[in-house]
Amino acid sequence: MRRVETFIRTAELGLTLASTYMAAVTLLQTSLYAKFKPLLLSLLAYAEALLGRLHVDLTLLDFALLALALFLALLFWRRGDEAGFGRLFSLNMLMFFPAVLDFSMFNWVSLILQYEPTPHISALWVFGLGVLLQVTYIALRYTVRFRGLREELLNRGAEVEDVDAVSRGQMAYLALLLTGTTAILALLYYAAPLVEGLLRLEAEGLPYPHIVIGVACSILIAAATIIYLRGSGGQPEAEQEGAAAAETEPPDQPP
Amino acid sequence: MKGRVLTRDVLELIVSSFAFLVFGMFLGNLILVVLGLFPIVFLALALLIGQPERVEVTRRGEDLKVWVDGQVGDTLTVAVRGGVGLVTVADRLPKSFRLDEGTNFKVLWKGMRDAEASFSYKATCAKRGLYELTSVAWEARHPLGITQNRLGGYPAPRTFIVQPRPLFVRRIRQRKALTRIPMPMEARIRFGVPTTDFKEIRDYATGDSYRMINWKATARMLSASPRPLQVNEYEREGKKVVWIFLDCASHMALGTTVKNTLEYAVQAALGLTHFYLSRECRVGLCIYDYDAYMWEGIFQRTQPPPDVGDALTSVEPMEAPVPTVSAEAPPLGAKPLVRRRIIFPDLGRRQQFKIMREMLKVDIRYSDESLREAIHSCRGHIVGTRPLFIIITMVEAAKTRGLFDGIRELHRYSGRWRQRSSIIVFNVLGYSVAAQSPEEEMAAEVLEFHNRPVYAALRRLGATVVNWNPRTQSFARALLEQRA
Repeated sequence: MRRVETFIRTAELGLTLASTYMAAVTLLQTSLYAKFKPLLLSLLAYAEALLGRLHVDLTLLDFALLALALFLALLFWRRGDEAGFGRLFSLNMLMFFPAVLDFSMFNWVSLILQYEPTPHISALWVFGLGVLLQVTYIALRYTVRFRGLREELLNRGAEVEDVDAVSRGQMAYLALLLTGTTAILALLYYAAPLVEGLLRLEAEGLPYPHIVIGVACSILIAAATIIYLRGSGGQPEAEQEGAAAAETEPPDQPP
Repeated sequence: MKGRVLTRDVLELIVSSFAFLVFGMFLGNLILVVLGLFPIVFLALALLIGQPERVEVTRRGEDLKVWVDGQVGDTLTVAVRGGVGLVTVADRLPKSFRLDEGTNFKVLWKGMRDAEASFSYKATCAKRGLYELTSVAWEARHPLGITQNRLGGYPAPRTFIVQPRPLFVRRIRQRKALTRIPMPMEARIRFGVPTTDFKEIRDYATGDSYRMINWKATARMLSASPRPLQVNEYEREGKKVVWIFLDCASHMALGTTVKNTLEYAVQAALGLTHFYLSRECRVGLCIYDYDAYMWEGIFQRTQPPPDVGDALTSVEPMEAPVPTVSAEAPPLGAKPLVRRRIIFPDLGRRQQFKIMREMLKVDIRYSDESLREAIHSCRGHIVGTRPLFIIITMVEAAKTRGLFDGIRELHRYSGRWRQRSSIIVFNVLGYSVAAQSPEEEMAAEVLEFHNRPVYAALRRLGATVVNWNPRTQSFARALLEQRA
């Protein structure tokens, strides 16, 4: 394996382990986990009593969960394809969800069971973890394609050094974009409380429930994004020139 | 202005973003709402720094003319401007070229600065032809592939002329024989200085000298019926003429793309051309399709009849005009207009150049005329002369009618001269060319055995059959071992 490809795989491994570890650690500190942990322990104790052969220290449950999550993450990383990383994202989101519930305005869980969020982590921590998960998801999604592109180019006869340069450039480009996006998101997150008062004044005047406004805003954001992406930019002159040249018949040159 | 075409990948990200936003709204969670903006901001930034826009390619090499199996090369410089991403550039070579050194495909990364790179290659040309590379194909990709790739071609013309290597026959030395390569029997042509050899008596034509009038013959003719003056016609001095008929039917494709029967036939044709031109003969070339003999319709006018309507406008019509079929419509049963490939006899290096140029283009089904039609097409240059005809083909026992029809047609126009043959059937043994293993070679020999009655029939028709197995026999040896 080439050095650049090793670097890509190592970066994938680092992101995989970091995001899963952070998600698992966060899960262990959520209210929902605290709520379910006694139930889980009792189930395990029942199983121990039933089988009579298990000599597991039940206090190690947290570590076991952490280890299990990391083991699964390693399996997904080892698979190395888009489907594997998709499952990794699902696993991480599953562990991230209880933390989100701790900081939600509407406590829908309380409709099912008695649940009062008492988080041991800060909102900033959860936001940071969310960003890390998004970064991991997008980064892994594209590194898989970078590796596929390497293979394609090599099969087409490209020189290895050129392909390495392309991979390096792509990784740098991806890192740059993710850093920029993270910075903008952080700015938005910190700016949100500042504009919250102004938005609240405007929103309270509307005669619709907040959920309707929220869904409408989401649809508008998605539609605006699609329109922006499809409408921005134009065909470069070079392409038109090339197409015109391709249509031109070759000159009639006698041998 | 045309919008960018996004890939499906982008829509997946937007959907995930939408899911985050809706879920955030549902839970009243600011964190999820902000996280939902992550893919959108990411995509917006990715589109702001788009893929490369301008690709320019310049060639440093020059147009080349090489022989088959010769080497050509070129050096290309690529300059990429605007945007960020990867660019692939490919100088697409013809299929019959084999890349020996370097590469004709280049990948380069365009970062924030303008990128420039060079690459060069050397390739061996395995097949004759005129190869014109008009443009260099390029492809610009977004670094993340979120927009569709831009494809284009930058005009960078380059011409490679790959000439077939003639099989030169300079001298043939063998005991008991000086040379057995036949020469044309005589040098009668229709134009040239009259000799003292009497040919015939014919009607007087404008421009004939009064001294050529045969008064006795004229008086004798006039006593019977009113006839024009009769003049003596003498043989004219000229060069000997050789007609080469080259078969380009589909059976000539036997073998590989590079080494097939047609390629050997082309080499043989060039070798014979060189041989006869160097001996002051006038050589003509006619390319025909052996399989075209299946058509049995009428011969069709190749040029529209002269329009005399304008000249007759002042003439009063005696009868009412009769409606006629449009001149544009082909007559019933007529064969559609065909591609005719004839180079009329000439001599010297110019003729050799013309034939060589034609040979660059020869391919399977290059002509639409059968042998008989081809002879009919050039009959005006055959009648009255005694040329040597060389038919280069691949004889097959299963289908011989086209060849026999052609030879009979040749006899119609040139006749037999003192029972000596002036027709050579140069038979390239295509099955042997195609044979790749000992078993296939044995099969080729069996098929060749089946051809023997055909050879005998051809000889009875007055033709000389020359069999050539290019894999085991030199061209000169094949000519030496001919049997009349």
